[in-house]
Amino acid sequence: MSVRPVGAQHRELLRRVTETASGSASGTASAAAGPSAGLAEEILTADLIGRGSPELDTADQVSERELARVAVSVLVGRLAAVTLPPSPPPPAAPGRLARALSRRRYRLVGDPILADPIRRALVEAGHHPGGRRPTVLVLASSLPTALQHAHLSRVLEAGLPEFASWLDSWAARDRMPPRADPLAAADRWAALVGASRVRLVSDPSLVPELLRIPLRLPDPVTLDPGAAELLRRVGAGLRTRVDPPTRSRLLTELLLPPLAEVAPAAGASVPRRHQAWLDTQAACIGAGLAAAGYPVHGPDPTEHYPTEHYPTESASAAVLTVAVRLLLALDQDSADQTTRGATR
Amino acid sequence: MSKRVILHVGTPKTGTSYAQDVLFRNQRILAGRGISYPADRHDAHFLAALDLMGLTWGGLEAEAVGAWDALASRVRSWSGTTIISHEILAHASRGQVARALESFGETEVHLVISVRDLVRQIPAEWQENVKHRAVVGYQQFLEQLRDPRRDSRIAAWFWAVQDVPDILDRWGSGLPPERVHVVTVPPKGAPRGELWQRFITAFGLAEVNLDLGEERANVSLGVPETVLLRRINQQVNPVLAPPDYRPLVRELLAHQTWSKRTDSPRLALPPDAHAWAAGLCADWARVLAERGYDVIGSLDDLTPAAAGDFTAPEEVLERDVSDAGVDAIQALLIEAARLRRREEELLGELAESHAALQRSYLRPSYRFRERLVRMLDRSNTGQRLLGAYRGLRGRNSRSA
Repeated sequence: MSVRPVGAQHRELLRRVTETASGSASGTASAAAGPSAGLAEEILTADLIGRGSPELDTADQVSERELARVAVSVLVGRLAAVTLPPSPPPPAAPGRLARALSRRRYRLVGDPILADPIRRALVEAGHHPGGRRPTVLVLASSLPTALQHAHLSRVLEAGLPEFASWLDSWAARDRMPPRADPLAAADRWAALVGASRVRLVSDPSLVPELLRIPLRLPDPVTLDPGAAELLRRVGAGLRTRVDPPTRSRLLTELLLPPLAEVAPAAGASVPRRHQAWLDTQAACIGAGLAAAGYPVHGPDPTEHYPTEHYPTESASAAVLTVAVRLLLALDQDSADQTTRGATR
Repeated sequence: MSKRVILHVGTPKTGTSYAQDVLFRNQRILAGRGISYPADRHDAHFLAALDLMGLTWGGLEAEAVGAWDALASRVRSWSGTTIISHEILAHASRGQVARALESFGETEVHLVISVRDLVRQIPAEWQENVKHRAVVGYQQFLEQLRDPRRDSRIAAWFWAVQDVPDILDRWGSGLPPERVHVVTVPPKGAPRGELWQRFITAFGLAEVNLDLGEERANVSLGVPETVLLRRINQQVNPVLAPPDYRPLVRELLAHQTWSKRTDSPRLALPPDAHAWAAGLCADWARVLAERGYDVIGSLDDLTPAAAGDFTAPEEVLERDVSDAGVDAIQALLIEAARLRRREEELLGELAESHAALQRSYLRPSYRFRERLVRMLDRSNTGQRLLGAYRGLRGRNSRSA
């Protein structure tokens, strides 16, 4: 076996990770003074996947995009090496009679990042969606959040361009993505079950009360733009390594939770160039919701959405910042597990 | 017969597609001479290259999982010579090269690289970028290539696949120089077929009688057509998906329509860039000569022709651009009319199928069976009877 060549981009990423770890260590007693030998080895031997330069000679040739590429390569290599256990079978659905007799017939739709975990929690508690003439709760986030969630949910399932380019395509068509459009979801269900059974819920904490089902709500998973872009790039890197269902599970089960811990969203917004388009969409959706008269539980999702502009740093810089924090956090977790194992 | 692999790793825009077409078309003839071109589909080596380098390519990468290992396994199991060819292999990092060479086991590796001078390569690469939806202007493209840091997205890719000494450092440093074969692309005006003759030498095919098919002329566009294509990209990129862009823009407009406008001025390098590129080519020729590789052709082919007329894309006549635009509209209208006719034909076929289906529904026996099933489906006993019948019949026609 030959020794894998090390490029300047590998060495520079290791230097940045070490520097960040040292910075963290000065503030926290528990943090290590640097990355573990295992992480350092992983960085120095990372395959350079995707487009970019081959191994570079000197650090002054290394761009942030190249550093982000090495970090993404480390994460891809790590995830691709995981053998996932088989997915647990879904809880058995109740029989037709039980569903017909249930007084809590519901459908939970809308923003997939909010609705999917709550629906899963309901099913685990024995409350399956469906039944005749259900109450339909359309979960709706503020529009910038809804857009980010729609993009994230598609990234987890398939591949997509980065958020801003994806928005370009919707803005050019002057349409909202279906997953981010609460009016479209409400109208679709109103046509099936009648408008009187459709409610818009912009405060998810109201779901148990509206369904009259006691339930501990799962914490919503949110990502800042850099973390979302990192997840997207890792997903792209996995496309030549594993099949699509495995890729989706690796991202959802193994990458998303730690990413949400190190880089949760601090408030959603869209790039400046999309602000006017979003204002127009908000006005249209707001007018449509008012005309249809769906009850809204929580704040109006089309009003008061945050207007702070999208981060102006380059996507690669944002990805790199999050990736370094994530690698160190995972390294620390691994060290903690080893310590716990040794003291048992 | 000794076991060896001939690995053709680029560079792009050096007649590689034609060579791959000929090899793919002649797989059986080659196999009869102990030479394997292991490809079940024309882009098999492309997929293997995507897999080796973890590259995404408009969704095609999903078909590439495990493709390199599968290819390497076929190399190891073949007793004679195997040829592998794809130009994007030039992009591989040293680590990926090491993995690739290791994957061939004990097989003797011969490296082939086809090279052309930068004065021809650079305009061709910009045009290729624009044909793949790029919106970068020519001037900006040149500035990025000439930036010594080479760290922009465009420059990183370009130099990874075009810097010949660097590619040979990565791919050839572990091989004896006599096993590294540099095929130079002959200058403009060379006899037709000269380049293929050089590939024949590199691939060791002199004794094989091959079906060469039609030599595909390298589709190049004039300056006004490329300017127009770039403007179209700016307009349609957000609204036209890659599966639609490929047949409508790249194939129909660029390859089938504008490539016929041969009177348009061709793209070249501006005088200062010409001098810079010529200097770089001279350096490359010197390095390649010093390394003692097996050169097929002549390193003099890397010396570019003298600078000629240069038409900057920014200075192209709007009249020429609009002429190309009218040609494009004509081509799209003809295509739209063809699709309309096809749609009418399909609607006619659909209506006939509907009518045939309706006729079968109207048969009394069908209507009786339909009523019976509906009736049985209303009761638990009936549903059980239906289930038993379907089970006995042995066909899975249970309702979902």
